[in-house]
Amino acid sequence: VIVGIRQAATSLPSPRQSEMVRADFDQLVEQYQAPLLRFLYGLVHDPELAADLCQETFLSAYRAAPRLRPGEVNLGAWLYTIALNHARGVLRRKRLLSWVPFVASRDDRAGVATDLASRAAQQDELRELLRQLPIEQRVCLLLHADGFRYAEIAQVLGCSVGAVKLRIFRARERCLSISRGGEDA
Amino acid sequence: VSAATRECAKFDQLLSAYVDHEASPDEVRLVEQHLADCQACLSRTRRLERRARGLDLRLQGLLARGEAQARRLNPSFRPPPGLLLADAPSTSGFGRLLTLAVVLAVVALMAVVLVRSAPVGQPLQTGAPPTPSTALTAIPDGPVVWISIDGLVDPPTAAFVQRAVAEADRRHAALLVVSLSPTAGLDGPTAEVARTLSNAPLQTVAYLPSAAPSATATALAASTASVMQAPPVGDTLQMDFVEALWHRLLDPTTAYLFLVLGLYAILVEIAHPGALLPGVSGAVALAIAAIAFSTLPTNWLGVLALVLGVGLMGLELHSGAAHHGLLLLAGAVFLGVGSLVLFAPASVGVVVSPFALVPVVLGGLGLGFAIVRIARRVRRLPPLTGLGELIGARGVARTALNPDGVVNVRGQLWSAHSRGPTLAPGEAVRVLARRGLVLDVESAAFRAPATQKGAHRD
Repeated sequence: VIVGIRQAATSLPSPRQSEMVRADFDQLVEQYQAPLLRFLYGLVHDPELAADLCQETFLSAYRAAPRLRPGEVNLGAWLYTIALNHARGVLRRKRLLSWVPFVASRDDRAGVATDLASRAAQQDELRELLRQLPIEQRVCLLLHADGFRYAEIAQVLGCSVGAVKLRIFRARERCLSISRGGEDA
Repeated sequence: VSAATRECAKFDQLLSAYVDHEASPDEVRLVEQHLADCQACLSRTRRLERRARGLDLRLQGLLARGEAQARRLNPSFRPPPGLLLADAPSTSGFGRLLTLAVVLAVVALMAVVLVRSAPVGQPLQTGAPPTPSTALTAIPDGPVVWISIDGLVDPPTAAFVQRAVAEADRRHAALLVVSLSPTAGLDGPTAEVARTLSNAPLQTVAYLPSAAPSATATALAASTASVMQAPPVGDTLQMDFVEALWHRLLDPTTAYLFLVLGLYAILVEIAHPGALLPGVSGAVALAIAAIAFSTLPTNWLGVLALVLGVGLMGLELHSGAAHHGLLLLAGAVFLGVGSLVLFAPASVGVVVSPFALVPVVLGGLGLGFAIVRIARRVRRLPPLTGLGELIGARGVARTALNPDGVVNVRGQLWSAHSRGPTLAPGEAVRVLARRGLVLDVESAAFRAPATQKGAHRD
């Protein structure tokens, strides 16, 4: 991260603009850190990794911030999109690393590490359910649970509201049918 | 019943959005009309709502736990103050002082090494071969056995000579010819070879192929019964595999290469932890070098200089050339000096071959500078994340663009709008502009149909 920050320094246009950006930026961090951590944790199921990804998300946003024109972008959706892209990269890498025959299945599209941590986590039924969902369905379900409207989710994913409807329906169908046993309790 | 069930099944998907209050007004009307008529669907909806809320609650609990854990690991992100000083040097004043102190200390250490290991004037004894102790007047009848001694006279050489003498005796040889072209000798083994030759139960004769034999060669020649310019030809005995292997490993230049390459490999492992192969091979190389150096007349300060030299080079690379290649140069100097004083000065002739020394030092230096150059160029590149630099990037349509859809650009999915004709999934696209979270794209294959095939493979 330190190297990353140092490299970021070279890409900033001018100190004055940076200061301006920075004042807004602290506010942005204040506002979005907690929800982004929740979102990223829901995607990767690893608090440490989620924290790292959150840092990377803000770092990417900080680097790109001077080039943003105010009012052009829904900042929240933009941040979530960056976070999602970072998480996708990590999950893709994990999937490549965890090429183990007995876990590989068509449903394992989200890509999951088979390291000790996640094996221990498999005890948690909910996490296991999430893990089996395609990543778009997972994003929809997580953001919905965290209070996003369908239209906002559509903006993060860059898809239509109809697609969000379908994905939430599919995700629920799957989670609720599989976890029939414990859900009514 | 079946028709009614089929009618109800149409509402499956609608109900999910309905219980979230996300259905469109038309959909709401449709659903509520049906629910007024269908008791089964009404209770189904209530159940779905309850279970959906339950799922949301469990998810919220999970996320809150994760957030709390992650927060403990990671205090709030703050852009560090250094960010405001664009391109600030990476070392503070204290850091620079520290570097200077380390370099000074190491230079002082090196000076000590040099003074302590300065070669003492000890002229190499070459020239005319010594007069043989006994003049060989007549060549005796019987088989003749040849052996050659070359390289460093080391323990395996001593073992070989002993074995050869016994073997020649077993064959009832009349004469043992020892071809002497050693570069140098270790004290113990050289004395042992001389003893073996002078105590041999058969007649021994030295043959010096070189016009200017080394001191070790002349010393050994003196221990044979006589020296001949053109001894009779006979059977040649050679080192067995184990002796030859040891002889090879104990070669000063080989040992030196094992040491330096082992250090380089360890450096690579440190730079890329988990690569494993460099680490393992480096450890093996260092172990071999350690065995050799414990037998050779090693100047351990020279070994220290080599380690420091490689370490300094690694420091420069690790810091991303923050010291402008100075540490790299210093490291190369240490490496060179260490190579020169690697063996105790008293043991004349035990040296690293310049054919190994020069490439190792210059190669390390050249590679180091190449890495530094690459590192600097990479650092000047614009960051690969963010939005501004996407214009002009190439990607692939993930869905049909009709004219809206999704494209994959630099491994990331974006919603996109095609400015040109409708694009099919898999078609190559080029980013023209960005509007918020939507990229304007055109077909990248449009102007150059020849590249279309390649783009499809991406």
